[in-house]
Amino acid sequence: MENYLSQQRAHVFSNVGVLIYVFDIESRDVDRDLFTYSNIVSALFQFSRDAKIFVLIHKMDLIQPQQREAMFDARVNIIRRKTFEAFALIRKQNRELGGQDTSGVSEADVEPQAFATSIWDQSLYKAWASIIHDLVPNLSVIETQLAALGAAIEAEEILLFERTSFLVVSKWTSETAARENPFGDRFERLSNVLKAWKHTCSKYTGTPRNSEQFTDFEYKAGANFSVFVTKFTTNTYIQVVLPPGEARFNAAKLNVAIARSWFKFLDGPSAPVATGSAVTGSSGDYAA
Amino acid sequence: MATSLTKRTSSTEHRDPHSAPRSRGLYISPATVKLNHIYEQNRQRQQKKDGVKAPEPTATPLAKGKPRLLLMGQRRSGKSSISSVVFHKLPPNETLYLESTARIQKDSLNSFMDFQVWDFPGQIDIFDNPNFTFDMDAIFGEVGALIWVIDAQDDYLEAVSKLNATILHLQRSYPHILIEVFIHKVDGLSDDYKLDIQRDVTIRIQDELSDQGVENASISFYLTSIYNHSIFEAFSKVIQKLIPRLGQLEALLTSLCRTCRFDKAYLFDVNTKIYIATDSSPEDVASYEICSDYVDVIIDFTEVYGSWQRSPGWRAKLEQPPWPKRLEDQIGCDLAESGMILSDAQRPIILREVDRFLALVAIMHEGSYDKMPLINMNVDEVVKGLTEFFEITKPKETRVAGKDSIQGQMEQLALGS
Ligand SMILES: Nc1nc2c(ncn2[C@@H]2O[C@H](COP(=O)(O)OP(=O)(O)OP(=O)(O)O)[C@@H](O)[C@H]2O)c(=O)[nH]1
Ligand SMILES: Nc1nc2c(ncn2[C@@H]2O[C@H](COP(=O)(O)OP(=O)(O)OP(=O)(O)O)[C@@H](O)[C@H]2O)c(=O)[nH]1
Ligand SMILES: [Mg+2]
Repeated sequence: MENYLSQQRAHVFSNVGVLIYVFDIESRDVDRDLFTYSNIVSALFQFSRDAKIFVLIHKMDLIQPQQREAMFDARVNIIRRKTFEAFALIRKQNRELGGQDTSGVSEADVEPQAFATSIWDQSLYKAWASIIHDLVPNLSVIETQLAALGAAIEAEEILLFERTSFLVVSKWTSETAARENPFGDRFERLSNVLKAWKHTCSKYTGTPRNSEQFTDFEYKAGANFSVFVTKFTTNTYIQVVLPPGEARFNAAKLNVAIARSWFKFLDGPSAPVATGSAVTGSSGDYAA
Repeated sequence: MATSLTKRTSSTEHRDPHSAPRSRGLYISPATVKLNHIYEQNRQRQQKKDGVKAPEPTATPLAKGKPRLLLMGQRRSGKSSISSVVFHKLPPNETLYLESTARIQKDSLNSFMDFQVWDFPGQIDIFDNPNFTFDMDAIFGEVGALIWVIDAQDDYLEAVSKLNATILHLQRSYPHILIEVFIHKVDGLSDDYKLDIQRDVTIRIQDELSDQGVENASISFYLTSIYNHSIFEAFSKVIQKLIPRLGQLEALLTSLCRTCRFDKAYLFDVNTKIYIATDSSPEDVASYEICSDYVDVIIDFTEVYGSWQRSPGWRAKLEQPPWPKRLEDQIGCDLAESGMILSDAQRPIILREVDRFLALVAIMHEGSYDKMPLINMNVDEVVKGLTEFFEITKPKETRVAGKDSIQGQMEQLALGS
């Protein structure tokens, strides 16, 4: 870490798109963690003023459930303050020494987005999905096309999952469903469900976890709703939620198959997450 | 028509650390119909149909009431953890925060069969208590099974001798009680070591009992852990012993497997993921695991998309062109049905709801995907057979009245959540 901050500083912290900083909530030396963090974000402000900061307050499972929210809020407040302090300092330095121009950047732009996470629940999916969402190129094109598809087949909701992580890359929800569905956490929840299911399959079939585990999933819940999840483009699965009805279901499947070609560009060469992001922190790495 | 799978209550999400602490209350389906009601109804119906012939007497004298499962064993052996994980869906790692039980915790469970689960405090000896005399009849009178939990990661000699003393007490007055020994917390133990412990515990119990002249006590042993499916499997086997006419259910599933080329078929209690019957092919943990996890997937999707009420105009809109038919006539089946294809060998896994508590889950041979239509027909037949078995017949009238009953259910749901 020290090395990054000294000799390799410019190298590591130039052209960063996203900084993901992981704090261990149970860390024995919070002051030291914060000190390191301040140094890191200072370097970031110095060399990549547009970078976004995501902070994961990690291993939350170790905290008693009733105390989690308060602990999280308290920690995030300190981190926010440290971030602003570091930012103010760099800005002052820049003004005095004529470094990178930070005049167009405000506090709001550097404010870290924080998530309480643990490898033992779905919280990491929510965090990573937000991060990925910020990184996907052509996001607005994807969103427009999903909306067109959704309206055409009268779906309630469409989700696009990345093939291996099952993170939600993009989504569209009909106006009514968006208003009525009370499960605000359903995207990370379903990521978690499908990812866990993939592990179950891999255990059963004896094939590697990251290889393709299933192709088609259909579920018709009587006169309530229907849903299918199917392989879509090379890198994605699509989930379509529909009102009940056999004919509606079959028509939607056909239309989704046709719409596949609209989304071919999703299979472009660049994997979105790998570009210009750095994961660093005091402890706790994971394979989401 | 109203079913637990397609119309689930939104039980609180348990994976999210931000959500409010889950209530300890029992999960009860909104459409809960107590099974002894059903049993009663069915018995009456059956009696009308068969004239004087009463329903088949059951193997044990217990089936009439609510079979009771007693969880007993030493302090911290894991009794409360087991009951919380299996019956309250507590994530296993959160059992670390459970407090030691101070008095008997009684849960009753509404399912295809109503049963009670009593979680005993390990710190109290009910047979030899200086402060309090327990009413033995009240405890053991209606018992189905006594589950004795032994911590395999701890020194278990005392647990074994306590269990022996308990069996000796019960032999006199309640000889029909099933004794089920859970050798528990075997996660992290090697397979060899597990089997060694199981052998050792078995021998110690049998030797001592035969020294005391007890030869025919029915005792079964299971290796369990809350961190994997073993605890659900063990509970499944215990519950199966309490189900009247289990053989018929098994025969039904066996014949389904033969006609449809299923590798394995299970009848699940959806709420607990206990399987109450399977076909006669050899036991296979891997199949149970994948089928049980499939139930989880379906439950999650049902909660997220099926547990809330759509707006009033929803139905009217759906019954317009291009599909101008009643919604009931647009769907192929009013019970939940699902299937998925596993990639490795184009192997399908299917789930079919049987009634508000039960679902049939089966995993098929490799490459039987193209036979799906035929399979669906056969599954339909078996689901019918199962429904008849549980004698929860759905007369035509409910179909006509369906709209009202669904609305009713939904209102209940809205009020309940
Ligand atoms: N309880 C709990 N433990 C976790 C969680 N995430 C990671 N751990 C544990 O934390 C320990 C350290 O995890 P690593 O992933 O090696 O941490 P790291 O940040 O990569 O560490 P360095 O490589 O030294 O920087 C391991 O024992 C993990 O099992 C979590 O969410 N909850
Ligand atoms: N490793 C492991 N630990 C378990 C398992 N089941 C329970 N435990 C742990 O055992 C401890 C005691 O569990 P309890 O369920 O409170 O034990 P109890 O038998 O109800 O104890 P009393 O109420 O005092 O009689 C908890 O810390 C659990 O996390 C298991 O399968 N494996
Ligand atoms: Mg207890």
